[in-house]
Amino acid sequence: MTRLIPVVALAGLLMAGVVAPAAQPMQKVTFALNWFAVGDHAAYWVALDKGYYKARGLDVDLQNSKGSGDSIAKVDTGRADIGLADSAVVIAAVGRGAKIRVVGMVFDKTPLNIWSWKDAPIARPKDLEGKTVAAPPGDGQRQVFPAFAKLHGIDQSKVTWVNVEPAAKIPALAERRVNAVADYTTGLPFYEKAMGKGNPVMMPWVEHGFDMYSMSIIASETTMKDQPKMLRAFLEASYTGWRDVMDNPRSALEIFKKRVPEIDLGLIEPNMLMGLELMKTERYARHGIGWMDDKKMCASVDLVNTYMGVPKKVDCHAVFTNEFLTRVELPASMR
Amino acid sequence: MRRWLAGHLPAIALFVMLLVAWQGAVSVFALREYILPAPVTVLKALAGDEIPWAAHLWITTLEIVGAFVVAGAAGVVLGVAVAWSPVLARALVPFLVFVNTLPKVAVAPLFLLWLGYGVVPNMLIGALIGFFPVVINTAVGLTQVDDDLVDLGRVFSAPKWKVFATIRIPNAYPYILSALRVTATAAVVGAVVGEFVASQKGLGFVIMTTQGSMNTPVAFAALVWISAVGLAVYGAVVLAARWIAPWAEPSP
Repeated sequence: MTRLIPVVALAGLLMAGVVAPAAQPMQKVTFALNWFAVGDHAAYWVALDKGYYKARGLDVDLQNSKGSGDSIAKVDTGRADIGLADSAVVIAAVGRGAKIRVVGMVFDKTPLNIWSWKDAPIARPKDLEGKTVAAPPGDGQRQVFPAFAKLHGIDQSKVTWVNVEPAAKIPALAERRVNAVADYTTGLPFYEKAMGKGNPVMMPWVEHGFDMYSMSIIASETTMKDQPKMLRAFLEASYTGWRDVMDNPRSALEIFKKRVPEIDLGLIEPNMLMGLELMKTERYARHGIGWMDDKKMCASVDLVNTYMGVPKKVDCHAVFTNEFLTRVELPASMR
Repeated sequence: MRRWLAGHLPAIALFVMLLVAWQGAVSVFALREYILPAPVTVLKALAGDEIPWAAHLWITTLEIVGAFVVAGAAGVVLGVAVAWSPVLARALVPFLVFVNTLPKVAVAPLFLLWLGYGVVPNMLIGALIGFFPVVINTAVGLTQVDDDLVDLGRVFSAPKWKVFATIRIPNAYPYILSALRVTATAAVVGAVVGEFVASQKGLGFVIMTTQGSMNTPVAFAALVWISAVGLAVYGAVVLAARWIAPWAEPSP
Protein backbone atom coordinates (compact mmCIF):
# COMPACT_ATOMS: atom_id res chain seq x y z
CA MET A 1 0.00 0.00 0.00
CA THR A 2 2.78 2.39 0.94
CA ARG A 3 4.30 1.74 -2.46
CA LEU A 4 1.32 3.30 -4.05
CA ILE A 5 1.97 6.70 -2.52
CA PRO A 6 5.01 7.62 -4.63
CA VAL A 7 3.15 6.48 -7.71
CA VAL A 8 0.20 8.68 -6.88
CA ALA A 9 2.52 11.58 -6.08
CA LEU A 10 4.31 11.06 -9.37
CA ALA A 11 1.03 11.04 -11.23
CA GLY A 12 0.11 14.27 -9.46
CA LEU A 13 3.39 15.83 -10.48
CA LEU A 14 2.91 14.77 -14.07
CA MET A 15 -0.54 16.26 -14.16
CA ALA A 16 0.76 19.47 -12.66
CA GLY A 17 3.42 19.42 -15.35
CA VAL A 18 0.77 19.19 -18.01
CA VAL A 19 -1.11 22.13 -16.56
CA ALA A 20 1.93 24.33 -15.90
CA PRO A 21 2.78 25.45 -19.47
CA ALA A 22 -0.55 27.27 -19.58
CA ALA A 23 0.66 29.56 -16.76
CA GLN A 24 2.75 32.65 -17.56
CA PRO A 25 6.49 32.51 -17.02
CA MET A 26 7.38 33.68 -13.53
CA GLN A 27 9.11 37.03 -13.15
CA LYS A 28 12.15 37.05 -10.88
CA VAL A 29 12.03 39.70 -8.16
CA THR A 30 14.73 40.32 -5.56
CA PHE A 31 13.52 41.90 -2.32
CA ALA A 32 16.26 43.26 -0.05
CA LEU A 33 15.18 43.09 3.60
CA ASN A 34 16.83 45.69 5.85
CA TRP A 35 18.35 43.24 8.32
CA PHE A 36 18.53 39.61 9.38
CA ALA A 37 15.21 38.03 10.30
CA VAL A 38 13.16 40.17 12.71
CA GLY A 39 9.47 40.24 13.56
CA ASP A 40 8.42 42.75 10.93
CA HIS A 41 9.72 40.47 8.17
CA ALA A 42 7.10 37.81 8.90
CA ALA A 43 4.60 39.31 6.44
CA TYR A 44 6.83 38.72 3.41
CA TRP A 45 7.49 35.12 4.35
CA VAL A 46 3.74 34.64 4.79
CA ALA A 47 3.09 36.16 1.36
CA LEU A 48 5.71 33.85 -0.09
CA ASP A 49 4.50 30.75 1.72
CA LYS A 50 0.84 31.30 0.89
CA GLY A 51 1.68 31.90 -2.76
CA TYR A 52 0.51 35.52 -2.88
CA TYR A 53 3.54 36.46 -4.97
CA LYS A 54 3.30 33.37 -7.13
CA ALA A 55 -0.38 33.96 -7.87
CA ARG A 56 0.66 37.31 -9.35
CA GLY A 57 3.41 35.79 -11.47
CA LEU A 58 6.26 36.81 -9.17
CA ASP A 59 9.12 34.58 -8.12
CA VAL A 60 10.34 36.55 -5.09
CA ASP A 61 13.74 36.06 -3.50
CA LEU A 62 14.09 37.54 0.02
CA GLN A 63 17.62 38.67 0.85
CA ASN A 64 19.10 39.87 4.14
CA SER A 65 21.03 43.15 4.31
CA LYS A 66 23.23 44.90 6.85
CA GLY A 67 21.04 47.89 7.63
CA SER A 68 19.09 50.44 5.64
CA GLY A 69 22.17 51.90 3.94
CA ASP A 70 22.97 48.47 2.54
CA SER A 71 19.45 47.72 1.27
CA ILE A 72 19.21 51.21 -0.28
CA ALA A 73 22.49 50.72 -2.14
CA LYS A 74 21.26 47.33 -3.41
CA VAL A 75 18.03 48.82 -4.75
CA ASP A 76 19.71 51.89 -6.21
CA THR A 77 22.34 49.87 -8.07
CA GLY A 78 19.86 47.29 -9.33
CA ARG A 79 21.17 44.38 -7.27
CA ALA A 80 17.68 44.24 -5.79
CA ASP A 81 14.39 45.36 -7.33
CA ILE A 82 12.62 46.37 -4.15
CA GLY A 83 13.84 46.86 -0.58
CA LEU A 84 13.07 47.68 3.04
CA ALA A 85 14.71 50.76 4.57
CA ASP A 86 14.25 53.42 7.21
CA SER A 87 12.68 56.53 5.67
CA ALA A 88 15.16 58.91 7.32
CA VAL A 89 18.03 57.11 5.63
CA VAL A 90 16.10 56.94 2.34
CA ILE A 91 15.58 60.71 2.36
CA ALA A 92 19.25 61.33 3.15
CA ALA A 93 20.23 58.98 0.31
CA VAL A 94 17.97 60.84 -2.13
CA GLY A 95 19.70 64.04 -1.02
CA ARG A 96 22.96 62.41 -2.05
CA GLY A 97 21.75 61.39 -5.47
CA ALA A 98 20.14 57.97 -4.98
CA LYS A 99 17.39 57.37 -7.54
CA ILE A 100 14.87 55.68 -5.27
CA ARG A 101 11.48 56.33 -3.71
CA VAL A 102 9.34 55.10 -0.88
CA VAL A 103 6.46 53.20 -2.47
CA GLY A 104 4.73 51.94 0.67
CA MET A 105 4.99 52.39 4.44
CA VAL A 106 5.44 49.64 7.01
CA PHE A 107 5.12 51.26 10.44
CA ASP A 108 2.69 54.17 10.48
CA LYS A 109 3.71 55.31 13.97
CA THR A 110 7.38 55.78 14.65
CA PRO A 111 9.21 53.14 16.71
CA LEU A 112 12.09 55.56 17.39
CA ASN A 113 13.00 55.31 21.04
CA ILE A 114 15.70 55.47 23.74
CA TRP A 115 16.36 52.52 26.07
CA SER A 116 17.81 52.79 29.56
CA TRP A 117 17.97 50.98 32.93
CA LYS A 118 15.18 51.17 35.50
CA ASP A 119 17.64 52.21 38.24
CA ALA A 120 19.09 54.99 36.05
CA PRO A 121 16.12 55.83 33.89
CA ILE A 122 15.98 58.26 31.02
CA ALA A 123 12.30 59.02 31.11
CA ARG A 124 12.35 62.55 29.72
CA PRO A 125 14.33 63.90 26.77
CA LYS A 126 16.24 66.32 29.02
CA ASP A 127 17.58 63.35 31.02
CA LEU A 128 19.85 62.56 28.08
CA GLU A 129 22.19 65.43 28.96
CA GLY A 130 25.42 64.16 30.46
CA LYS A 131 24.73 60.61 29.28
CA THR A 132 26.48 58.19 26.95
CA VAL A 133 24.22 56.78 24.25
CA ALA A 134 25.08 53.91 21.91
CA ALA A 135 23.63 53.45 18.43
CA PRO A 136 24.73 52.18 15.04
CA PRO A 137 25.56 55.31 13.02
CA GLY A 138 23.20 54.37 10.19
CA ASP A 139 20.12 53.93 12.38
CA GLY A 140 17.15 56.23 12.07
CA GLN A 141 17.26 57.60 15.61
CA ARG A 142 20.97 58.39 15.42
CA GLN A 143 20.41 60.21 12.15
CA VAL A 144 17.49 62.39 13.22
CA PHE A 145 18.56 62.90 16.82
CA PRO A 146 19.60 66.53 16.15
CA ALA A 147 15.97 67.24 15.28
CA PHE A 148 14.72 65.57 18.45
CA ALA A 149 17.29 67.45 20.53
CA LYS A 150 16.24 70.75 19.03
CA LEU A 151 12.58 70.05 19.73
CA HIS A 152 13.25 69.50 23.44
CA GLY A 153 16.08 71.95 23.95
CA ILE A 154 18.61 69.20 24.70
CA ASP A 155 22.17 70.49 24.73
CA GLN A 156 23.73 68.19 22.12
CA SER A 157 27.26 68.84 23.29
CA LYS A 158 26.31 67.11 26.56
CA VAL A 159 25.25 63.87 24.88
CA THR A 160 28.09 61.47 24.05
CA TRP A 161 27.40 59.06 21.22
CA VAL A 162 29.16 55.72 20.90
CA ASN A 163 29.13 54.04 17.50
CA VAL A 164 28.29 50.38 17.90
CA GLU A 165 27.54 47.55 15.53
CA PRO A 166 23.83 46.76 15.36
CA ALA A 167 24.48 43.44 17.10
CA ALA A 168 26.27 45.21 19.97
CA LYS A 169 23.37 47.51 20.88
CA ILE A 170 21.74 45.32 23.50
CA PRO A 171 24.90 44.01 25.21
CA ALA A 172 26.22 47.59 25.41
CA LEU A 173 23.28 48.56 27.62
CA ALA A 174 22.94 45.24 29.44
CA GLU A 175 26.62 45.38 30.45
CA ARG A 176 26.23 49.06 31.38
CA ARG A 177 28.96 50.15 29.02
CA VAL A 178 26.64 53.03 28.12
CA ASN A 179 23.76 54.78 29.90
CA ALA A 180 21.32 54.39 27.04
CA VAL A 181 20.79 52.85 23.63
CA ALA A 182 18.80 54.38 20.79
CA ASP A 183 16.72 51.59 19.29
CA TYR A 184 13.17 50.77 18.15
CA THR A 185 10.47 50.17 20.76
CA THR A 186 9.83 46.80 19.12
CA GLY A 187 13.10 45.57 20.58
CA LEU A 188 11.56 45.18 24.06
CA PRO A 189 11.68 41.37 24.19
CA PHE A 190 15.39 41.39 23.27
CA TYR A 191 16.20 43.98 25.94
CA GLU A 192 14.15 42.10 28.53
CA LYS A 193 16.01 38.92 27.77
CA ALA A 194 19.40 40.58 28.30
CA MET A 195 18.52 42.90 31.20
CA GLY A 196 15.79 40.98 32.99
CA LYS A 197 12.05 41.53 32.90
CA GLY A 198 10.92 44.95 34.11
CA ASN A 199 14.41 46.46 33.90
CA PRO A 200 14.43 48.14 30.49
CA VAL A 201 12.92 51.65 30.39
CA MET A 202 11.54 53.05 27.15
CA MET A 203 11.25 56.64 26.01
CA PRO A 204 9.26 56.41 22.76
CA TRP A 205 9.76 59.57 20.74
CA VAL A 206 6.19 59.44 19.53
CA GLU A 207 5.10 60.18 23.11
CA HIS A 208 7.35 63.22 23.12
CA GLY A 209 5.92 65.07 20.18
CA PHE A 210 8.14 63.50 17.54
CA ASP A 211 6.52 61.46 14.82
CA MET A 212 8.39 60.68 11.68
CA TYR A 213 8.04 57.93 9.11
CA SER A 214 10.47 55.06 9.60
CA MET A 215 10.45 51.52 8.15
CA SER A 216 9.25 51.62 4.54
CA ILE A 217 9.28 49.74 1.24
CA ILE A 218 11.41 51.32 -1.47
CA ALA A 219 11.97 50.89 -5.20
CA SER A 220 14.31 52.45 -7.73
CA GLU A 221 13.14 54.98 -10.31
CA THR A 222 14.07 52.41 -12.96
CA THR A 223 11.83 49.74 -11.46
CA MET A 224 8.98 52.25 -11.16
CA LYS A 225 9.30 53.25 -14.79
CA ASP A 226 9.99 49.88 -16.40
CA GLN A 227 8.01 47.47 -14.22
CA PRO A 228 5.05 49.30 -12.70
CA LYS A 229 2.88 46.18 -12.95
CA MET A 230 5.37 44.04 -11.09
CA LEU A 231 5.73 46.68 -8.38
CA ARG A 232 1.99 47.02 -7.94
CA ALA A 233 1.58 43.24 -7.75
CA PHE A 234 4.42 42.95 -5.26
CA LEU A 235 2.99 45.59 -2.93
CA GLU A 236 -0.50 44.11 -3.05
CA ALA A 237 0.84 40.65 -2.24
CA SER A 238 3.08 41.98 0.55
CA TYR A 239 0.36 43.99 2.26
CA THR A 240 -1.97 41.01 1.94
CA GLY A 241 0.75 39.13 3.82
CA TRP A 242 0.67 41.88 6.44
CA ARG A 243 -3.11 41.58 6.71
CA ASP A 244 -2.75 37.85 7.37
CA VAL A 245 -0.15 38.54 10.05
CA MET A 246 -2.55 40.94 11.76
CA ASP A 247 -5.43 38.56 11.39
CA ASN A 248 -3.65 35.53 12.74
CA PRO A 249 -0.25 36.29 14.27
CA ARG A 250 0.17 32.74 15.54
CA SER A 251 -0.10 31.05 12.19
CA ALA A 252 2.14 33.76 10.69
CA LEU A 253 4.80 32.89 13.26
CA GLU A 254 4.51 29.20 12.39
CA ILE A 255 5.15 30.00 8.74
CA PHE A 256 8.02 32.32 9.66
CA LYS A 257 9.66 29.62 11.78
CA LYS A 258 9.20 27.05 9.04
CA ARG A 259 10.86 29.34 6.48
CA VAL A 260 13.58 30.76 8.75
CA PRO A 261 14.32 28.06 11.35
CA GLU A 262 17.07 30.16 13.01
CA ILE A 263 14.61 32.56 14.62
CA ASP A 264 13.77 32.32 18.32
CA LEU A 265 9.99 32.51 18.51
CA GLY A 266 10.07 33.52 22.18
CA LEU A 267 11.67 36.79 21.09
CA ILE A 268 10.26 37.21 17.61
CA GLU A 269 6.63 36.87 18.74
CA PRO A 270 6.50 39.89 21.08
CA ASN A 271 8.81 41.74 18.67
CA MET A 272 6.30 41.19 15.87
CA LEU A 273 3.28 42.02 18.01
CA MET A 274 4.80 45.34 19.07
CA GLY A 275 5.31 46.17 15.41
CA LEU A 276 1.63 45.55 14.77
CA GLU A 277 0.76 48.13 17.42
CA LEU A 278 2.54 50.72 15.28
CA MET A 279 0.19 49.91 12.40
CA LYS A 280 -3.07 50.09 14.32
CA THR A 281 -3.79 53.64 13.19
CA GLU A 282 -6.61 55.84 12.00
CA ARG A 283 -4.72 56.48 8.75
CA TYR A 284 -4.34 52.82 7.85
CA ALA A 285 -7.98 52.17 8.82
CA ARG A 286 -9.11 54.90 6.48
CA HIS A 287 -6.76 54.43 3.53
CA GLY A 288 -5.50 50.87 3.73
CA ILE A 289 -2.20 49.37 4.93
CA GLY A 290 0.94 51.08 3.68
CA TRP A 291 -0.69 54.35 2.63
CA MET A 292 1.34 57.50 3.22
CA ASP A 293 0.14 60.88 4.34
CA ASP A 294 1.47 63.77 2.31
CA LYS A 295 1.72 66.10 5.30
CA LYS A 296 3.52 63.64 7.54
CA MET A 297 5.98 62.67 4.80
CA CYS A 298 6.75 66.32 4.04
CA ALA A 299 7.29 66.97 7.76
CA SER A 300 9.69 64.00 7.89
CA VAL A 301 11.60 65.28 4.86
CA ASP A 302 11.77 68.71 6.48
CA LEU A 303 13.45 67.22 9.54
CA VAL A 304 16.07 65.53 7.38
CA ASN A 305 16.63 68.65 5.27
CA THR A 306 17.10 70.78 8.35
CA TYR A 307 19.14 68.55 10.62
CA MET A 308 20.97 65.86 8.70
CA GLY A 309 23.34 67.95 6.59
CA VAL A 310 22.33 66.67 3.16
CA PRO A 311 24.17 68.48 0.36
CA LYS A 312 20.98 69.49 -1.43
CA LYS A 313 17.46 69.97 -0.07
CA VAL A 314 15.09 67.13 -0.88
CA ASP A 315 11.61 67.76 -2.27
CA CYS A 316 9.21 65.56 -0.32
CA HIS A 317 7.15 64.75 -3.41
CA ALA A 318 10.26 63.33 -5.04
CA VAL A 319 10.70 60.91 -2.15
CA PHE A 320 7.47 58.95 -2.03
CA THR A 321 4.47 57.90 -4.05
CA ASN A 322 1.21 56.11 -3.24
CA GLU A 323 0.73 55.42 -6.93
CA PHE A 324 1.59 51.70 -6.79
CA LEU A 325 -0.54 50.85 -3.78
CA THR A 326 -3.60 48.69 -4.10
CA ARG A 327 -5.91 49.16 -1.15
CA VAL A 328 -5.52 46.36 1.39
CA GLU A 329 -7.86 46.84 4.35
CA LEU A 330 -6.83 46.56 7.98
CA PRO A 331 -8.54 43.48 9.41
CA ALA A 332 -11.30 43.97 11.98
CA SER A 333 -8.96 42.94 14.82
CA MET A 334 -6.81 46.01 14.14
CA ARG A 335 -9.54 48.63 14.15
CA MET B 1 67.17 62.63 -6.32
CA ARG B 2 67.25 61.56 -9.93
CA ARG B 3 68.11 57.99 -8.97
CA TRP B 4 65.34 57.96 -6.40
CA LEU B 5 62.92 59.14 -9.04
CA ALA B 6 64.08 56.52 -11.53
CA GLY B 7 63.65 53.83 -8.91
CA HIS B 8 60.14 54.86 -7.99
CA LEU B 9 58.91 55.95 -11.38
CA PRO B 10 57.04 52.70 -12.16
CA ALA B 11 55.11 52.86 -8.88
CA ILE B 12 54.27 56.54 -9.29
CA ALA B 13 53.20 56.07 -12.90
CA LEU B 14 50.91 53.18 -11.99
CA PHE B 15 49.40 55.19 -9.15
CA VAL B 16 48.72 58.20 -11.36
CA MET B 17 47.25 55.98 -14.08
CA LEU B 18 44.90 54.37 -11.60
CA LEU B 19 43.75 57.77 -10.34
CA VAL B 20 43.10 58.96 -13.89
CA ALA B 21 41.19 55.76 -14.74
CA TRP B 22 39.15 56.12 -11.54
CA GLN B 23 38.26 59.75 -12.27
CA GLY B 24 37.47 58.82 -15.86
CA ALA B 25 35.25 55.90 -14.88
CA VAL B 26 33.25 58.07 -12.49
CA SER B 27 32.68 60.72 -15.17
CA VAL B 28 31.99 58.33 -18.05
CA PHE B 29 29.56 56.05 -16.20
CA ALA B 30 28.07 58.98 -14.24
CA LEU B 31 28.48 57.02 -10.99
CA ARG B 32 26.62 58.44 -8.05
CA GLU B 33 28.82 60.07 -5.47
CA TYR B 34 27.64 57.92 -2.58
CA ILE B 35 28.49 54.72 -4.47
CA LEU B 36 31.92 55.75 -5.78
CA PRO B 37 33.12 59.33 -5.30
CA ALA B 38 35.65 60.70 -7.79
CA PRO B 39 39.25 61.25 -6.57
CA VAL B 40 38.75 65.01 -6.81
CA THR B 41 35.71 64.80 -4.52
CA VAL B 42 37.70 62.72 -2.04
CA LEU B 43 40.47 65.29 -2.14
CA LYS B 44 37.95 68.01 -1.31
CA ALA B 45 36.69 65.95 1.62
CA LEU B 46 40.30 65.54 2.81
CA ALA B 47 40.88 69.28 2.69
CA GLY B 48 37.50 70.22 4.14
CA ASP B 49 36.98 71.14 7.77
CA GLU B 50 33.78 69.06 8.08
CA ILE B 51 35.70 66.50 10.12
CA PRO B 52 38.30 67.28 12.83
CA TRP B 53 40.84 65.00 11.16
CA ALA B 54 43.71 65.64 13.57
CA ALA B 55 41.80 64.35 16.62
CA HIS B 56 40.67 61.17 14.86
CA LEU B 57 44.08 60.63 13.32
CA TRP B 58 45.72 60.88 16.73
CA ILE B 59 43.43 58.24 18.29
CA THR B 60 43.84 55.76 15.45
CA THR B 61 47.60 56.27 15.28
CA LEU B 62 47.82 55.68 19.01
CA GLU B 63 45.87 52.43 18.64
CA ILE B 64 48.01 51.23 15.74
CA VAL B 65 51.32 52.01 17.43
CA GLY B 66 50.09 50.48 20.69
CA ALA B 67 48.92 47.35 18.90
CA PHE B 68 52.27 47.08 17.14
CA VAL B 69 54.30 47.43 20.32
CA VAL B 70 52.17 44.94 22.28
CA ALA B 71 52.20 42.43 19.40
CA GLY B 72 55.95 42.82 18.92
CA ALA B 73 56.82 42.48 22.60
CA ALA B 74 54.43 39.60 23.29
CA GLY B 75 55.48 37.89 20.07
CA VAL B 76 59.20 38.01 20.90
CA VAL B 77 58.67 36.83 24.49
CA LEU B 78 56.51 33.93 23.39
CA GLY B 79 58.93 33.12 20.58
CA VAL B 80 61.83 32.98 23.03
CA ALA B 81 59.77 30.77 25.35
CA VAL B 82 59.03 28.39 22.51
CA ALA B 83 62.69 28.22 21.49
CA TRP B 84 63.95 27.97 25.07
CA SER B 85 62.36 24.72 26.07
CA PRO B 86 60.82 21.91 24.02
CA VAL B 87 58.28 21.30 26.80
CA LEU B 88 57.10 24.91 26.66
CA ALA B 89 56.98 24.68 22.89
CA ARG B 90 54.75 21.61 23.03
CA ALA B 91 52.47 23.34 25.52
CA LEU B 92 52.32 26.74 23.83
CA VAL B 93 52.30 26.13 20.11
CA PRO B 94 48.94 24.36 19.77
CA PHE B 95 47.34 27.02 21.95
CA LEU B 96 48.87 29.87 19.95
CA VAL B 97 47.75 28.29 16.69
CA PHE B 98 44.25 28.01 18.13
CA VAL B 99 44.22 31.69 19.12
CA ASN B 100 45.51 32.67 15.71
CA THR B 101 42.81 30.75 13.85
CA LEU B 102 40.01 32.55 15.72
CA PRO B 103 38.36 34.94 13.31
CA LYS B 104 39.19 38.28 14.95
CA VAL B 105 36.22 40.04 13.39
CA ALA B 106 33.95 37.66 15.28
CA VAL B 107 35.92 37.96 18.52
CA ALA B 108 36.20 41.75 18.47
CA PRO B 109 32.64 42.46 19.67
CA LEU B 110 33.14 40.15 22.68
CA PHE B 111 36.49 41.73 23.43
CA LEU B 112 34.93 45.15 23.57
CA LEU B 113 32.13 43.84 25.73
CA TRP B 114 34.60 42.50 28.29
CA LEU B 115 37.02 45.41 28.27
CA GLY B 116 34.77 48.32 27.48
CA TYR B 117 35.13 50.76 24.61
CA GLY B 118 38.16 52.90 24.05
CA VAL B 119 41.73 52.99 22.88
CA VAL B 120 43.19 50.09 24.88
CA PRO B 121 40.77 47.35 23.74
CA ASN B 122 41.34 48.37 20.13
CA MET B 123 45.09 48.11 20.68
CA LEU B 124 44.62 44.61 22.03
CA ILE B 125 42.53 43.55 19.03
CA GLY B 126 45.29 44.81 16.75
CA ALA B 127 47.88 42.98 18.83
CA LEU B 128 45.83 39.79 18.70
CA ILE B 129 45.81 39.93 14.91
CA GLY B 130 49.49 40.78 14.59
CA PHE B 131 51.42 38.80 17.19
CA PHE B 132 51.49 35.35 15.62
CA PRO B 133 54.02 35.85 12.83
CA VAL B 134 56.40 37.37 15.37
CA VAL B 135 56.19 34.28 17.60
CA ILE B 136 56.82 31.89 14.75
CA ASN B 137 59.61 33.90 13.17
CA THR B 138 61.32 34.51 16.50
CA ALA B 139 61.25 30.82 17.32
CA VAL B 140 62.56 29.89 13.87
CA GLY B 141 65.26 32.55 14.01
CA LEU B 142 66.42 31.33 17.41
CA THR B 143 66.64 27.70 16.40
CA GLN B 144 67.99 27.96 12.86
CA VAL B 145 71.48 28.74 14.08
CA ASP B 146 74.75 27.56 12.65
CA ASP B 147 75.50 24.49 14.82
CA ASP B 148 79.20 25.32 14.87
CA LEU B 149 78.51 28.60 16.62
CA VAL B 150 76.46 26.91 19.31
CA ASP B 151 79.14 24.24 19.71
CA LEU B 152 81.69 27.00 20.10
CA GLY B 153 79.65 28.45 22.93
CA ARG B 154 79.45 25.05 24.54
CA VAL B 155 83.21 24.53 24.28
CA PHE B 156 83.69 27.72 26.26
CA SER B 157 81.00 26.40 28.65
CA ALA B 158 78.77 29.42 28.13
CA PRO B 159 75.49 29.19 30.06
CA LYS B 160 72.26 28.77 28.10
CA TRP B 161 71.16 32.38 28.54
CA LYS B 162 74.46 33.63 27.22
CA VAL B 163 74.18 31.48 24.09
CA PHE B 164 70.74 33.00 23.62
CA ALA B 165 71.88 36.55 24.17
CA THR B 166 75.02 36.51 22.05
CA ILE B 167 74.39 33.90 19.36
CA ARG B 168 70.74 33.00 18.97
CA ILE B 169 69.05 36.38 19.36
CA PRO B 170 71.29 38.28 16.91
CA ASN B 171 70.74 35.41 14.51
CA ALA B 172 66.98 35.89 14.86
CA TYR B 173 67.00 39.64 14.08
CA PRO B 174 66.27 39.33 10.37
CA TYR B 175 63.45 36.87 11.06
CA ILE B 176 61.89 39.06 13.73
CA LEU B 177 62.21 42.21 11.66
CA SER B 178 60.53 40.70 8.64
CA ALA B 179 57.69 39.47 10.87
CA LEU B 180 57.31 42.95 12.33
CA ARG B 181 56.60 44.29 8.86
CA VAL B 182 53.60 41.98 8.65
CA THR B 183 52.59 43.02 12.16
CA ALA B 184 52.72 46.70 11.19
CA THR B 185 49.99 46.20 8.61
CA ALA B 186 48.01 43.82 10.84
CA ALA B 187 47.96 46.47 13.58
CA VAL B 188 46.23 48.86 11.19
CA VAL B 189 43.56 46.27 10.40
CA GLY B 190 43.06 45.51 14.09
CA ALA B 191 42.65 49.11 15.17
CA VAL B 192 40.06 49.75 12.48
CA VAL B 193 38.19 46.50 13.17
CA GLY B 194 37.90 47.57 16.80
CA GLU B 195 36.65 51.01 15.85
CA PHE B 196 34.10 49.48 13.52
CA VAL B 197 32.59 47.46 16.34
CA ALA B 198 32.33 50.27 18.88
CA SER B 199 34.02 53.64 19.19
CA GLN B 200 33.60 57.32 19.95
CA LYS B 201 36.60 58.60 17.99
CA GLY B 202 39.09 57.52 15.36
CA LEU B 203 39.20 57.06 11.61
CA GLY B 204 37.13 53.86 11.76
CA PHE B 205 34.51 55.83 13.69
CA VAL B 206 34.50 58.43 10.91
CA ILE B 207 34.00 55.73 8.28
CA MET B 208 31.10 54.15 10.17
CA THR B 209 29.40 57.47 10.86
CA THR B 210 29.69 58.85 7.37
CA GLN B 211 28.67 55.60 5.71
CA GLY B 212 25.57 55.69 7.88
CA SER B 213 24.54 58.95 6.31
CA MET B 214 25.79 57.93 2.85
CA ASN B 215 28.54 60.52 2.95
CA THR B 216 30.94 58.28 1.04
CA PRO B 217 33.50 60.95 0.02
CA VAL B 218 34.42 61.51 3.67
CA ALA B 219 34.58 57.75 4.26
CA PHE B 220 37.07 57.50 1.38
CA ALA B 221 39.05 60.42 2.79
CA ALA B 222 39.29 58.53 6.11
CA LEU B 223 40.55 55.49 4.17
CA VAL B 224 43.26 57.66 2.65
CA TRP B 225 44.33 58.73 6.14
CA ILE B 226 44.33 55.16 7.39
CA SER B 227 46.58 54.00 4.58
CA ALA B 228 48.84 57.01 5.18
CA VAL B 229 49.25 56.00 8.83
CA GLY B 230 49.74 52.38 7.78
CA LEU B 231 52.47 53.32 5.31
CA ALA B 232 54.17 55.55 7.88
CA VAL B 233 54.27 52.77 10.48
CA TYR B 234 55.51 50.30 7.89
CA GLY B 235 58.16 52.75 6.73
CA ALA B 236 59.31 53.31 10.31
CA VAL B 237 59.72 49.55 10.80
CA VAL B 238 61.74 49.23 7.60
CA LEU B 239 64.01 52.12 8.63
CA ALA B 240 64.47 50.70 12.12
CA ALA B 241 65.33 47.33 10.62
CA ARG B 242 67.96 48.89 8.40
CA TRP B 243 69.50 50.51 11.46
CA ILE B 244 69.38 47.52 13.83
CA ALA B 245 70.35 44.79 11.42
CA PRO B 246 71.72 46.31 8.22
CA TRP B 247 73.03 42.93 7.07
CA ALA B 248 69.51 41.54 7.05
CA GLU B 249 68.09 43.93 4.45
CA PRO B 250 65.97 41.85 2.08
CA SER B 251 66.02 42.80 -1.57
CA PRO B 252 63.04 45.07 -2.34
